[in-house]
Amino acid sequence: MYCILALSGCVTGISENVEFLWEQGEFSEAYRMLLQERRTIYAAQDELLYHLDAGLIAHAAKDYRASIEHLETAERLIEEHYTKSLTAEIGTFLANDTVRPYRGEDYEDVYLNIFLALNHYHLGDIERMMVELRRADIKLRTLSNKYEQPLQRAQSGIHRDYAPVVMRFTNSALVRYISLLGYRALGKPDDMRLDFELLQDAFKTQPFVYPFRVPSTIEQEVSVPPHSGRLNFIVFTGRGPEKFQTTQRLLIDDCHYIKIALPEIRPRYSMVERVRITLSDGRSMYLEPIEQMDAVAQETFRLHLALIEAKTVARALAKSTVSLIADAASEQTEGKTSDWLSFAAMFFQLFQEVSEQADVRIARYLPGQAWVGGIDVPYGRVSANVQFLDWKQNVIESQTVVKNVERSDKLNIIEAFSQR
Amino acid sequence: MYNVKKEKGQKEVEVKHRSLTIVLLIAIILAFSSCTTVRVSRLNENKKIDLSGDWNDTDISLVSERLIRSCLKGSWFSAFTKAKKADPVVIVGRFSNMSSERIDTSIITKRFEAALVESQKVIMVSGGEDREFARDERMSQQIYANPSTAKEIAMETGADFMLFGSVKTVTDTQGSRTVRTYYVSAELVDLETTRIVWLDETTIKKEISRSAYTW
Repeated sequence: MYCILALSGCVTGISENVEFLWEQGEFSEAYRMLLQERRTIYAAQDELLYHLDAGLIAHAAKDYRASIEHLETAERLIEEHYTKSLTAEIGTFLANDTVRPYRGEDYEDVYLNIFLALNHYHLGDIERMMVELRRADIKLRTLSNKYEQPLQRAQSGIHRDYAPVVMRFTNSALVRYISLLGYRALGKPDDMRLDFELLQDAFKTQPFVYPFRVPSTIEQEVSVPPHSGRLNFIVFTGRGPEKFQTTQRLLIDDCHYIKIALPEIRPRYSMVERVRITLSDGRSMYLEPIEQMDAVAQETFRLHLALIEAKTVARALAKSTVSLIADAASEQTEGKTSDWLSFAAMFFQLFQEVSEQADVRIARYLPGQAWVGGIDVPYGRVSANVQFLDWKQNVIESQTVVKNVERSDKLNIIEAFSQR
Repeated sequence: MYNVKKEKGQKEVEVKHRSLTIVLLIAIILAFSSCTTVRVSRLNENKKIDLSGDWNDTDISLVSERLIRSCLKGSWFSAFTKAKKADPVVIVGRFSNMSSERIDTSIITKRFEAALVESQKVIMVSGGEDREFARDERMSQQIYANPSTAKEIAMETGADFMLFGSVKTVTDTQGSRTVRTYYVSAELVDLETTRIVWLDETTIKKEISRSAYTW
């Protein structure tokens, strides 16, 4: 019984303290609490998850250097985990996917570069910001390559008539937007124009991820007059998706069944319907959505789920088969041998029930949506009130940010965060 | 008596077993305690090691050596000395990182500065942040230093040429194989006329294969 429980794997817990502080918007305290409770929240094989969570919380807490350290470590771990450990893989075939180190989801791998880019922007290094955006872009472009062959192998073995699952998300509008702003600041109009076209393309070719129109502000970004100040807003709201386990039990006979436990990604509800900016000079504007990060998560998870499904079905079938064979063999024998085989059949059925668990690990502090906007302002100190409105247009949260706006060939971004 | 002897013998065996167990336990503890999780080996600075396939010290050395050699061999130097009858004054500007890797280009700029100083063919003047520090110190001397020792302001040596550069990458990936090409270019610009008097580019190409499995 101990072996069954041990092999069924460990699942990373959630810290109520960190969650509470995060929900209250106390990001610095949440980061401090996470560091303090690291050993109790995260199992040994969840180092990547720790660095993802810590990096995102540190970013929200404006501790950009700490965030850079955590997110770069997370990226390095994702790269290292590309090479699968056979011993860990054997464990996943015996028990489930939670026994091996968490490898990160594709959208986590891409979005960590976006937050690294913003970290570098806030530290005044636009060049490094652009490096991170290029890294995100490369990852997106190679996503389909990552799954093509493994999926073909997995699907041809199990579902011969299965329609191939293909990656449909390879171009992020949010990456293009920040990159466009960066090239404008660096004085590279051709690259800026290219990002503008690719951004439009992202909306046109990926309507399942971008079911809303291209933000009207984008057109203005490429034609900002040279001697004016331009203030850009990038606001994140809500929370990234959660993972749940969905379970199916398929009866084989009165005593045997196959348990299939699969992870499912579901978006989290956000109260924020609109984001309004009011400047100190009285002007106001509404930001427009540019990326539904939870929709991106669902889309990129589709291909990974196809692989998980193939492996889970094969593993569950194998466990059931062993139980069936043991049962059949016990009927063919007598005495103690028959008893032992009967016990083995029961053990494997029970082992399947306990050990078949979906890997529901996920980064908890990614935002759900990204909103953008831009407005021409005079040089100098500008105060902006960022208001988050619900569907009744009530203000559910308000933040005031002050920025020293430099000339248009510098980048002036105000970033805000609401976890609601 | 026989029973007592037998009991004594049994006890001796038991004691021996226990002693052996204790010795084994101590040996195991010592063996594990001598296994450290961190091991440091000092390497020769010229040893070429590629671990991850990312930009590393070997790439910096290769790129710097080639570009510096090309720069010092360039005809710009003789053309200048012939025309001006003096050594050119050079300032090293920035190497932009336009790649998709986290490269600290200041290492390349420092190598260029060191090589140009060592060549004794040019006069190097400080640029960038270092120059700002020097200027701050000079301004500070106007206030705090003995006037006889304070350095005069507006006496910097103007550079004749400025060195720029950039690092770019092109990445091609299929499955576990990646081919990454680095294009490192450098140019020397005449600060008066903005003419490019020297330009060169060096390329490094790597193939990185990651195994799908390991033990």
